[in-house]
Amino acid sequence: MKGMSIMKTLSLNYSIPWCSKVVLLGCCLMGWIFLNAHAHSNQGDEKARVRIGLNYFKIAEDSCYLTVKVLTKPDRKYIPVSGVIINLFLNEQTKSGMMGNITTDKEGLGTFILPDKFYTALDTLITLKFMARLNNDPSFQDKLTTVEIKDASMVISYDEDSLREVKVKLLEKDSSDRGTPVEGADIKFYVQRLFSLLPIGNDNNFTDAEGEVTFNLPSDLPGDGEGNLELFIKLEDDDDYGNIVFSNTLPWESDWITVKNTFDERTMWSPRDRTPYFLWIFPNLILLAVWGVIFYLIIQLMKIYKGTI
Amino acid sequence: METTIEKQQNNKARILVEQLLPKHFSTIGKIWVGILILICLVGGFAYYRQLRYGLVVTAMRDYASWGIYISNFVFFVAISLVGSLVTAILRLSHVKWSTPLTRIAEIIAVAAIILAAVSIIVDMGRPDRFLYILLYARLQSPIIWDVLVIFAYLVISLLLLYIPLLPDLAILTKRMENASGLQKRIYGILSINWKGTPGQFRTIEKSVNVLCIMIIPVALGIHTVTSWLFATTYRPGWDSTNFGPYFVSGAFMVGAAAVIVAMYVLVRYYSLSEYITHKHFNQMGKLLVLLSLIYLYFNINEYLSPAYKMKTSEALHLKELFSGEFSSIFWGVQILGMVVPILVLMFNMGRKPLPMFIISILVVVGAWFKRYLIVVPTLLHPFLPIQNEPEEWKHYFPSWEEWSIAMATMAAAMLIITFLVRLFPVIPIYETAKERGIKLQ
Repeated sequence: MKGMSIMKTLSLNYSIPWCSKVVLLGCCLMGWIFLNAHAHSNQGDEKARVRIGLNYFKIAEDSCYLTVKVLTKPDRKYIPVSGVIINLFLNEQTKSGMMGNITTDKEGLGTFILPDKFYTALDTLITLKFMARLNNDPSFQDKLTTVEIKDASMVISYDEDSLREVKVKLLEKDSSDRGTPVEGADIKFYVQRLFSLLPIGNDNNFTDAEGEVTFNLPSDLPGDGEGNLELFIKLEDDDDYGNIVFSNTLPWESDWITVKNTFDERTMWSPRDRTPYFLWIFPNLILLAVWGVIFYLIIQLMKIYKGTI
Repeated sequence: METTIEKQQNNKARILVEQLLPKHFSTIGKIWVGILILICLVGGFAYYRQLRYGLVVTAMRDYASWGIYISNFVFFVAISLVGSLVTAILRLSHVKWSTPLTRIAEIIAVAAIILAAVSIIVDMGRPDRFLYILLYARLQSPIIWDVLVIFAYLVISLLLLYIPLLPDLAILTKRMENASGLQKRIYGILSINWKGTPGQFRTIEKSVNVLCIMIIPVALGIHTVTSWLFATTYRPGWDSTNFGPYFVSGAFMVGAAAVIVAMYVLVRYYSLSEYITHKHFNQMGKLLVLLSLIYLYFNINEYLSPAYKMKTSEALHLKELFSGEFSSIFWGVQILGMVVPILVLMFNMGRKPLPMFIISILVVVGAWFKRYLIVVPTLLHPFLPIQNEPEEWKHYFPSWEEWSIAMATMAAAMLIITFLVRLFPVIPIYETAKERGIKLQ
C-alpha cells in the first residue's frame, strides 16, 4: 500500500499539465497542417516533364522540314502534349540561329518547313545541328532536344531501256564536290497507291562500299490511269542523316489493272433481266413443279364442285 | 325397321358429331377474344403511327436494322412448320394417334404463316413497296426465294387444312341447326357441293397424300431459306453452314410445343378429353424431347466451335451472349427453353397435361427470345463497325410501337386460331369416326 502511494505521488508530480497538453497538441496539428499544405503547394507548383522528338526530313534536293513530337508521361504512359510552343534553332540558341516557333497540335505534333533564308547555311554546312526547345511553359519543365545531321544526298539513275532497274547512290557531303559514299545505309522503296505508299522489294537494301544499291522494280506493278508509276526512295530515321526522301514519276507504260466489266454479263449482282441461267432455270423448275401440283389439286376441287367426281 | 346395332351406331355417331361440332364462345372465350382484339387495336394504332411518321418511331437504326419484327417473322415461320410435322410426317409414318391433332396443327400453321408474311410487310415500313418485290424481283436474292416459298407454303397449308375438312363441312351444313345464317352460308360455300361419293373420298384421300408429300420439302425449304437470309450475310453469328438444319430443328421443336399448348387449352375449355387423351400428351411429350435434343445438339454445334476458336471478329458477339448485355436472355433461353424441358419431359410425371402445358409455354417463349438473340446481337456487332454513329444507335431496345405491333401480330395469330376453332371442328369428325368404325349418315 505504501509503495503504491509513492508511485501515485510521483506520477502526479511528473505529469504534464492539461493546458500544456492542449498547446502541444495544437502545435502538432498546426505543424501537420502547414507541412501538408506546403507539400500540396509544392505538388501544385511541380511542372511535368516532357520528351521532345525531333526529326529532320530532306525532300530530294528541293526542301527540308523538321517534325516535332512532344509527349509527357503522367501515369506510366506517354500522352501527346498539345498547344505548347517549341522554339527551333539551327546550330546555336541565339537570335540569329532561331529558325522559328511551332505550336503542337492535339497529337502533340508540329511540322516546320525551313525558311528560305536558311538554305544558304544548309548548302554550306556539312553538319547541321537542329535544336527544339520548350522554354518557360507554365505547365511543363524546360526541355532542349538536339539532333545533329550530316547532310547527304541521293543520286538516282535508271536502266535507260526499261526503267525497271533503279540504282541509288547515297553521298555524304564533304569538302569536295563529289561527296563521300555512305556504306550500310538501308534504302527503302515505295510506290504510290490510291491511299498510301506501298512498300516494294526486300525489307533491307543496304548500300555497298560505293554507297550504291541496285533495285529491280517488279515488272507486274500496275501504273496509274495514265500509265505512270510514282516511285519513292527513302532513307528513314537514320541516326546520321535523318530522313531523305526522293520521288520520281516514271513513264511506266503499264496501265492500271482494269476491273473486268461484268455489266452485260449474267452475274449474282446483275439486274433481274441478267440473272444467271442456273438461277433462272432451277427456281423456275421448282416453282413449276410445286404450283403444277397445287393447280392439279385445285382442279380436283373444281371437279368436286361441278359434281364430275 | 332399325336394328339394335344400327340404333347403337346412330347413337354413337350422333354423340360423336355433337361432341365435335364447333361450340359457341363461353364467357371466358368472349373475354379472351375481347383482350385479343384490344391488343390488335393498340397494335393497329402503333402501326398507324409507323405509317404516318415512318420507321423512325421504331428503335431500329443503322446498326440494328432488323429488330423484333424480323425476330417475330422468324418465330412465326418456325411455328408454321408444325403443319408439316404433325400432319405430313406423322401421317406418312402411319402414326395413328396423331389424327386428332392434325387440324390443330394445320390451323396453327395457317395462322402463323399469315402473320409471318404480315411481319415482313410491317418491317418494310412502306407496305406499298411490297409490290416492288413482285414487280422487280431478282432471283439472285434470297429474299425473293423466301417470298416465293412462303406464298407456296401458305397455299399448301390452306389446302391441307381445307381438303380434309370437306366431309366435315358437309356434316356441319346438315347438323349445325343453331348456326347463324352467315355461318351456314360459309359452310355452304366451302363445302363445294360435297356429296360424299366414293370417288370424292378417293380424290381427297389422294390429294391429302400428295399434299403431305409435297409439304415436307416446301416446309424444309421455307425455314432453310429463312435461315439463308442470315447465313448468306457476312456477319458474326450468321456466317454458318449449320444454319439450315439449325433453324429447321428449332422450328419443329417450337411447333410441337405450340400444338401441346393448344391441346391443353382445347381439352380444358372444349371438353375434348375423350379425343385428346393422356396418351396424346405422352406421345407429344416424347416427340418434344426428341426434337429438343436435336435442337440442343445444333445449339452446341452453333456456339461451341466458334467459342473454342474465339476469333477476334466473333469474340465480341459471343462474349455479349455468354457474359455481356444479352447473357441473361441467352442463358435463360438455353436453360429454361431447352435443358429444363428435356429434363422434365424425360420422366412420365413430366409428360402429364399440366406440366407439359407449362413446359411448352416455356419452350414457345424461349423460342421467341431465341429468334431475338439470333437477329439483334449480331447486328450490333458487325465485322466492319459503322463510323461516326451516335452511341445510342449501337444499342437496341424496341420502342413501344414495335412492342405493340409485335404483340398485335401475336394476338392476331391467336385470334385467327380462335375463330377457326370456333368455326370448324378442331378434331376431324369424319376421320375420327372412320378410325372408330362409326358410320356417319
